[in-house]
Amino acid sequence: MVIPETLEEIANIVRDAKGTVIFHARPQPHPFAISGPTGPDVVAISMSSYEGIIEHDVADQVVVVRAGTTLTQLQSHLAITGQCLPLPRFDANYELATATIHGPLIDKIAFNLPHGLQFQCGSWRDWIIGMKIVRADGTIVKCGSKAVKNVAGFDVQKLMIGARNTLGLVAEVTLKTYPIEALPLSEVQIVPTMAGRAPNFIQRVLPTDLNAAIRSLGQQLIACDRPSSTLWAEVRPMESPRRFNGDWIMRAGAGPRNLEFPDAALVKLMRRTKELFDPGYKLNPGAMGIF
Amino acid sequence: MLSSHAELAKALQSVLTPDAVLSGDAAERAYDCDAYTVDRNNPSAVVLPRSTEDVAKVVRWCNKNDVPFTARGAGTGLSGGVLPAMGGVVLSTKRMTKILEIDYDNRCLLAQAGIPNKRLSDAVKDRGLYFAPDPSSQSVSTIGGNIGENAGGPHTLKYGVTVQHILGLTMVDPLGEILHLGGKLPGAPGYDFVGIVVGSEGTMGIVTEAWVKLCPIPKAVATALISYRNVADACRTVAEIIAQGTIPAALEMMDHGILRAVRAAFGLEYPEGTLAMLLIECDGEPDRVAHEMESVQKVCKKNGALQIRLAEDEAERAKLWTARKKGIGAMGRIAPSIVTHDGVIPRSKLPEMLEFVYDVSWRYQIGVANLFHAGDGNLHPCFYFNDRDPEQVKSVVAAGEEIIRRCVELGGSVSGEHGIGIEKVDLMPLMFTPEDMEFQATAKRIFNDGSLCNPCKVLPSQKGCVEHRRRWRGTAW
Repeated sequence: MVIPETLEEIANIVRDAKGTVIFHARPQPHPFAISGPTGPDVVAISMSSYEGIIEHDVADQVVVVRAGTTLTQLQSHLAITGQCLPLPRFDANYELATATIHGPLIDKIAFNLPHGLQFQCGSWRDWIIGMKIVRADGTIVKCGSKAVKNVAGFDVQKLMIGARNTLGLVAEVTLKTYPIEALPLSEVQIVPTMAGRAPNFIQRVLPTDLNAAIRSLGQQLIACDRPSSTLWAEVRPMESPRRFNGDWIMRAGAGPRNLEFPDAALVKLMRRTKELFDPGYKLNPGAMGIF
Repeated sequence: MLSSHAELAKALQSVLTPDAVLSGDAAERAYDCDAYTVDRNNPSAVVLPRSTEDVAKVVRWCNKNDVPFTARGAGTGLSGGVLPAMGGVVLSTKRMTKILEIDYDNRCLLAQAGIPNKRLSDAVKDRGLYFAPDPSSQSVSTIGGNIGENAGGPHTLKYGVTVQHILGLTMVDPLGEILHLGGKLPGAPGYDFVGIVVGSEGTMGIVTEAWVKLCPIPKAVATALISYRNVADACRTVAEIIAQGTIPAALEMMDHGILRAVRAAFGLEYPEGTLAMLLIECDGEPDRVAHEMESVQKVCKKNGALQIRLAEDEAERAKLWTARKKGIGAMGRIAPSIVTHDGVIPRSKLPEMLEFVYDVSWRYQIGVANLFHAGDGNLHPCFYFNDRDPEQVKSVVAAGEEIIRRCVELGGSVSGEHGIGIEKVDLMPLMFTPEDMEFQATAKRIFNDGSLCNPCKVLPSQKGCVEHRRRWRGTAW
């Protein structure tokens, strides 16, 4: 495990790696990750030392932060000036609803899991207005700007969100912040007997299927967010809960089944994207399960 | 390569139907630019497809015959995004205006790309729903064009831009293959292709259908028009409102130049000595709206407001918005030509930036008026001039570039919502290094990048564009 401290160090490690590069954002892999390759060729990079706030423009409500910074760290910093990222508060119950509230930003952005204020306040895709990325060949590039509204060039940063660092390593992000004063209350409902349990199954269904999905998960349901029609549950790894038309799921602890892409055309497009951004299949190659 | 425009039009008639192809001088001239009129170039022919399959047929034909093609909605774009930069075929979505499915329960709607934005809201109004993005052109601009440009509008401050409201897309890629991206539900695992296609200015393919999100019409709306003695007071108000945690639905500013025009056009009255006005709207639950409006008014008073006028009813509210949305149109009374610029800066830099704009206008001796999305820091300096005077045109272009450069220096962007198109393609290096732009070019290649699909837009130094550019750059002078 290498623990670089500067952006240049990260870029050099990625550039010089002969084999696979995997990014460890936290001491253990993210629960929703698909375990990647191991072996002598694998270079594991920990981002834990590439952390801290680079710049916080209070009046403009914009913060630039290194991706190894934990969400807790960032939220405490923002709170001093009455700002935050609109993720549900640090309540023990909400931790399960967001799965990894204490993890670093790089994890959150890479996995882009649903959270309890998504319907009301959006998500990473809406908050990230700029990014610095280390490409597979070690080049450092940036997207976006510090302006909250910007249509200059293609929005490549959106491709990086939820991409589990398979297209490039997200090293720094510029985020819009939110006034705590204006934060709505989350409508996530926790099943009382399941409070404190860690979900290993997330399902989003059409609002018209939500009640049926709740019934179908039955005793396994941990939490439900009606506005975004999202469900968190604890299901046995081999079990396959009922699926609904147009829904999607994410799993933890089910190995390669953590992510499934039933649409062949989409898989083809994803492969093409991977080949263009990372021709050597160097970056986190197992992380999406399909390459 | 087909030798003449007539030959090309004839060949296209056999791909679709004879009535789906427009050609000849009049058609070529009508489709040679969008609302950015400084640069123009004629297409060889214009086609009017009715369906995704029609579009795919034309795109495949273009590929086979090595003919460039450019999709076009209503042509209200402000950066030359639909200018047929290398000639070839313009695919107009004029006949693709159907709503294909409305799913009220799941609050989404599937429509063809050529439908005007406002018709989406009109279609679902009775059920208490609407489509939130509302660019000022919304009565004519199409959803396809809004997707291409990732259009904004006055209500983006609270509700986000187009990309936040597009759930799924059907698109024809640059080789003519039909792709379905996204669906009815946001946030699905996998790469966010919808996110990259929205705002790609029609360079990654042609969007033919879209699933859009419908929002409930807010229960209460309060709109206020506030007059100020100077823009600095108005700017300070904007900053304070946001800092105190209020997120109005809209926070718009108009300066003296615009006010003169809208007074003449719509009879909008304001107190003597007014040099700036804010239009502030709060919406949502009645209690909250009342509370927000109250705190907004406090901030306005504290910052030297001359007058606060609250819309009493829907008719008055509509009137206030007419002044704002048709403000640019009203400028037509002052001068024959208008170029609206679109720079964006961190909000706190607004006063400094406005001063700079006035200074530039004075130095180049061209009139300027400003109406813009103050809440987002999205500036729209609007230069008025006579485009038959070559000297004035040159000054307008030079002044615009100075303003945009300053926006970037202040940490902003060369475009907040109008897009790069051809207007700003040469300004991209102000913001991005060659490596940054290569990264963007990589994203473009995902969709089988050829050099035929809306060439010469967004990214500078594309193959063959420099020579072509000589033909259309500044044809107005």
